[in-house]
Amino acid sequence: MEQQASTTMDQERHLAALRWGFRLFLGIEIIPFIVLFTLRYELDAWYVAPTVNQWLGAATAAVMLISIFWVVSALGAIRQNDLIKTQHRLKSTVGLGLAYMALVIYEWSQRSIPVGTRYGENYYTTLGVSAFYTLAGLFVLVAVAVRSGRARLNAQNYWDIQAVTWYWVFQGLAAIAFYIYFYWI
Amino acid sequence: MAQNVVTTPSARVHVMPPMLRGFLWAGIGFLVLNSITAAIRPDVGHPFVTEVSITIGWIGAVIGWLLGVGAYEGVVLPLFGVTPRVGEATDWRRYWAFATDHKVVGIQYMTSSACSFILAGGIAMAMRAELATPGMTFFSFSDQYLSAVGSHGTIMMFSVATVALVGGLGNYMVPLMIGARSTIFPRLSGLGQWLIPAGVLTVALSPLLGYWTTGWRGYEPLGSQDASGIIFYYLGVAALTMSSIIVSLNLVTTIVFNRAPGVTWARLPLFVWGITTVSILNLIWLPEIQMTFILELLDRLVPLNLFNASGQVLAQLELFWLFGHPEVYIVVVPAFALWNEIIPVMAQKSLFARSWAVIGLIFVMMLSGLVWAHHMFTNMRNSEMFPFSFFTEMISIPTGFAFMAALGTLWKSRYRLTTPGLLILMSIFNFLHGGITGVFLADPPINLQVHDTMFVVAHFHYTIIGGMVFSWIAATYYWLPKMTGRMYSEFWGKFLSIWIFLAFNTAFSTMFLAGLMGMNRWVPTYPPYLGPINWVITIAAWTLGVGFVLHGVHIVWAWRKGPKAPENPWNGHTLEWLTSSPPPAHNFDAIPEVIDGFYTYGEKAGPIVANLKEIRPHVEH
Repeated sequence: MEQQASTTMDQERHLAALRWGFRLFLGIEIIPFIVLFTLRYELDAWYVAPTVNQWLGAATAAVMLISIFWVVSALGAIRQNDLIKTQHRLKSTVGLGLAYMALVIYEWSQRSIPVGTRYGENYYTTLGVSAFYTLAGLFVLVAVAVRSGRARLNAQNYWDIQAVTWYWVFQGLAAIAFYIYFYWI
Repeated sequence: MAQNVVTTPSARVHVMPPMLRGFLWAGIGFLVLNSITAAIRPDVGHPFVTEVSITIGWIGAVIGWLLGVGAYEGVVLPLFGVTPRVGEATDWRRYWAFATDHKVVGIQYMTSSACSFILAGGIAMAMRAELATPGMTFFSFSDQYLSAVGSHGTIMMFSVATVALVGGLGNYMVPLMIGARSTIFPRLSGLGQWLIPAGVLTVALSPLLGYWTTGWRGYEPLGSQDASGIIFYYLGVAALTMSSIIVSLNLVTTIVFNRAPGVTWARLPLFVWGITTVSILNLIWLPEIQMTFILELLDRLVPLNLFNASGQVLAQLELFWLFGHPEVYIVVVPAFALWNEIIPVMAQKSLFARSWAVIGLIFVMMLSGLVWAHHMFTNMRNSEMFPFSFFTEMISIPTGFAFMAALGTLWKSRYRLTTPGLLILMSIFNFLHGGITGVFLADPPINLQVHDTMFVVAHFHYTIIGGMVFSWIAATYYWLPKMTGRMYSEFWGKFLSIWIFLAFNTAFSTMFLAGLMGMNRWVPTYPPYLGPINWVITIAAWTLGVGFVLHGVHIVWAWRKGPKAPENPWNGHTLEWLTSSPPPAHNFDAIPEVIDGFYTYGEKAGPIVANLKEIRPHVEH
């Protein structure tokens, strides 16, 4: 009995360590954006190009915002032991993520923002970093969606879902910050 | 995810040796992504291999390499919930594949660092061959020499200086010293190690794509004007820095959460404090420099105008040195910690002013981000120089705390001049000279006078080789009995230590004089009046190189053939000495319950742990 309690405590501590380490990882992932922010300041590129498609930008950000709510609801579902709903929400988030990427690529293909301008340089470099984070998020979303069935995740064992949720929320907030930063400021 | 570590008997490991499979899959990865890039690029008629395609292809190669060495079974399959059919080897083959045991990963990192040290040291020998005489002799073109300087600096900084003490000794020793059985992210750690060979090979082979002239700093606008080899510099550094980020994330999380009961922050071993502070620096500054180099890469590939004459050249310098000076402390802070880890043990005397030694490490960490612009005094107004000059001189105060603790411990002690003990004293002596000349360089008048001369080169080699490399070798001898269960030869250890000490000081103290006489950096030729002094430096540098190689040979000999070591040859009190040598996979039979500090000797010394008899493994490995 005592040994079992000790093992449970060890597992809880291990889980706390995983959570803390993952938060630290997300914290340092903000640093590249600080560098990009600094660069825009250094290059004196504080303006919004008149050719940006505001509607398309808003639609892209809206899709990402919805996907954040969707993945958070997946975490809520596994906490209630509803694996089927969790998997459904994870797959839907993947779909929304793909839609986001499709909109980004469409906007890119329109060439409405010239690359060879101060705004364009900063816009495309920051968009590239943000999109890379989204691609990484899509990969882990797919991996965890597949894994969730095989690893028998449940209300007591859902760290995988929690980690992917945190990551997706992080990259989603980065994408929305990108929208505010380049379409409004 | 971390619980699914599969260990199988050696006979059931990979059919193909993992490293061979890694090379094969790297080739396939490169070919696939290069081909896809060539196929979808809109400008029809371009060559099959372009700067863009090799960049994308390189990503495929690194992914293929990592999967091939074992990440496919160790990371990817478990990530998707699939149990791999083969697992980690338990015999010698585990050192040549993806591993999750922190001790195996530590030895892999040490081996990677040592090989990188030999490679980059060999390049340094070639540079000194060129500088032995005033004209062009060894190299045919000046760009070849500059590529050698850049490759030497890049490999030394990013795969030796940043890695050997943290990835190598940190991975091996930190869990043992805090009484843990493993690290928190063992898979990630196993993955990170294999980025080192990928990064080193990328940088070492970069001149094949064309010479690059920026040095280890990637200076613009030089980088944008260089041949394509500079691309492999950016990519190689990306792989190497990612490895160090992984190490730091893993170790700092392990230190926060996996300390044994009683290993409070007030009792944390000095070396572990050093790894904690340096990990924080790594986690802040390495992502910063990664992003900077990605921007430089994009500047070239797209191309953009971020850092050329149309953009802001100075922005690149600022972004680089924001990382560049903390990097110096990333290198030497673990060395400071090692001084005060080893000296009390060799003196068998309680560590003097332990709290101040720790505070010194923390303040060096904090101030290291405030000194960076002293590298750019030639680009600044006088008024802008002042704060950076001030903070650079101020950082000598917390650095002095490390000296104070060391000297206070040595005072009236019966210090044992063993090989590690001797090397630590040498390290302190060398760093003192590197530090004092650093204070000179913090003063704008001297800085502007000796800028870009060999005086600066001598200064930072006194800190890096003199401070860090000497401590690295000391720590290797100190923990060799723990890692191998075998002893080295004291005669050869001391003889070779004196050899490198004399050769190092001859080479680099003479280099100070060469700098004051007007010998510039970054030039393969120079006026004839500087010939004799350069000849002396070259002979001493070659002697130093031979001394380092002989140390390596001696350590490998001791590892394989050395006499059996006593259980605790130094009478150290830290927890790693309580388990068998080498330690078993699970480190301790029972988690230690620590009841006293590790640095108390003499009459006040009491038992360190409450459960000594339960800790030591019953089965010797």
